[in-house]
Amino acid sequence: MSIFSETWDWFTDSANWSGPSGIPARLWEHIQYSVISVVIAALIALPIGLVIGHVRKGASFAVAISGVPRAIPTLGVLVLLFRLAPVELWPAIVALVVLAIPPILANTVVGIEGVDPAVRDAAEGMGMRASGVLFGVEIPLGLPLVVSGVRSAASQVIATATIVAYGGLGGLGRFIIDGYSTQNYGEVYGGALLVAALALSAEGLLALLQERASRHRAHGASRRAGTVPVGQQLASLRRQPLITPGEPR
Amino acid sequence: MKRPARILTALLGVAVIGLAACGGDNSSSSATTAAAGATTTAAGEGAAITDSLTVGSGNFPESVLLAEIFAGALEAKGAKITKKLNIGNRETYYKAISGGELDLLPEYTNSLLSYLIRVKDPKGIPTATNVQQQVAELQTELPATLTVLPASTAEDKDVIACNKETTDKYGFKNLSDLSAKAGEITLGGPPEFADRSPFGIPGFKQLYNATFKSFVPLEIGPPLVDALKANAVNCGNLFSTMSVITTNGFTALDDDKNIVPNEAVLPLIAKAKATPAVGAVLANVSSKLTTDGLVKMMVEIEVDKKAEVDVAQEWLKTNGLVA
Repeated sequence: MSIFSETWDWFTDSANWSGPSGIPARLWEHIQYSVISVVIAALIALPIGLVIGHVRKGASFAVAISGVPRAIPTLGVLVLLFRLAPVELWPAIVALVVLAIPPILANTVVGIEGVDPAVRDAAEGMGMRASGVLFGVEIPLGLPLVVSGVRSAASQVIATATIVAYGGLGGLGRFIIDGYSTQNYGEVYGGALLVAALALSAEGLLALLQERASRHRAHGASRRAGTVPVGQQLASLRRQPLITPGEPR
Repeated sequence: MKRPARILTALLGVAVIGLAACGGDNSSSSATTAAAGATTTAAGEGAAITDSLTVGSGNFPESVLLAEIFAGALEAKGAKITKKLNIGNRETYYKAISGGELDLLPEYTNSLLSYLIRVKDPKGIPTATNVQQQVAELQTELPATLTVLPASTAEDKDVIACNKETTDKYGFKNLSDLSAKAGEITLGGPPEFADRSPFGIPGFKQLYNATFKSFVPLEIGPPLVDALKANAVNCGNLFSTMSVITTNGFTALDDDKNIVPNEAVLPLIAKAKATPAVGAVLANVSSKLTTDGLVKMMVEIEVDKKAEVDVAQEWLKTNGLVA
């Protein structure tokens, strides 16, 4: 009862919607931290995942290894790095990048490696070079799973980026920490709700992207396969196991 | 606001039991007759104490240290002391002393007063700010079974401390100096500092017309200390007896306009046990206890990792309170 009214009061207080510590400013900070972290993680994890998935060597090892950083507590990394560089942004970004790499890496490896060998053979048989196979066949076919990795990384990062407020930085975590220390619980709940809403929005956006990637796979792959006889192409695509979008585990 | 925070920062309080002091000498009354080794001592004009007292403390090192000092001084005068240290936070140990399980505790004027007022009214804050007013208000707020004895000049209160780079550059001595340059200063402090008054951002604006360059919310403890050390913030809200101020060469600024409520150390005692003899011993302790002395002892405990009981005994000896 009072939880709802306190939270409502916090949301409806116009003072909380302006200035450098207002909701729009904190939301924007939170989005920035999250986007920077996921983009950096993708820049690291995607090339590695594509190569490992393509050469099909060490894929299971890579997937297993990519699970290791998941065991590293993000808060631990953050505290460790904040000791070296208090109140700076990079420790927060590093901690979140470490969090975001495993899902992207694992899904990319699985997505690329999981492309039907027959399709790949066909592409190679018609004289496509390795890069052609990767960019023309494997990536389009593996894309839905790759995007699903980014999606799961994004929602984890958005939810976890609250802790950077511990190190004196901004973002939506500020509301949770500040509200708690000033015993303004409406602010705490309001902040938590905003984080959840942001994570869900990102999920929705990337799910849409994933959906498009699936459609792109069906069309793009066949278009690019060029000179492969239509019958063979279709046969390959039909043999392609149905990859269900969603969590890779 | 202050006490819970420092209890958090002081989670590593170590229970130290045992090592009873023996012998005694009453230098306060300038008499030096001592019966070393005896547990009951009649020294000079100071009457021997025959009472037994249970001394408690909160669960942070400074509280344990102060309790050891009280216990050691009383024991030296013949009191039978049972120690129950490191009990918990104020909620817990206050219940114990008001319930009669404890007889004596070290307390802090503003924190105890705030607690007593908050119990009645969750949003209440003390009106008293100086020690004299606080003690008077405490006597009216405390139940009939409890009382407080004269306060020491030792205080563990909020301070603004600046790192060496900042004091070297600006030469700050007090909060007025700081406020004059506020526009160039990045300040760190607990999140509640941002909207607390008078000791907080709104208070500085009101009293000094000072607006800081920026405020970085950081927990009082390692996060804030690290930020000060790295000069990520110039000054920050710490507590006056924190050893990190001394060990890192920070400067605690004088509160020249008295915006921080006093937090003098004083004994909280069961009225039944507050005999004139006990009162005289504790008044003597209070008269010798200073903030600097407390800081030095806290450095020995936090940095040199000495046991509270040893540090307390050393202090009692240096001040002639035990033989």
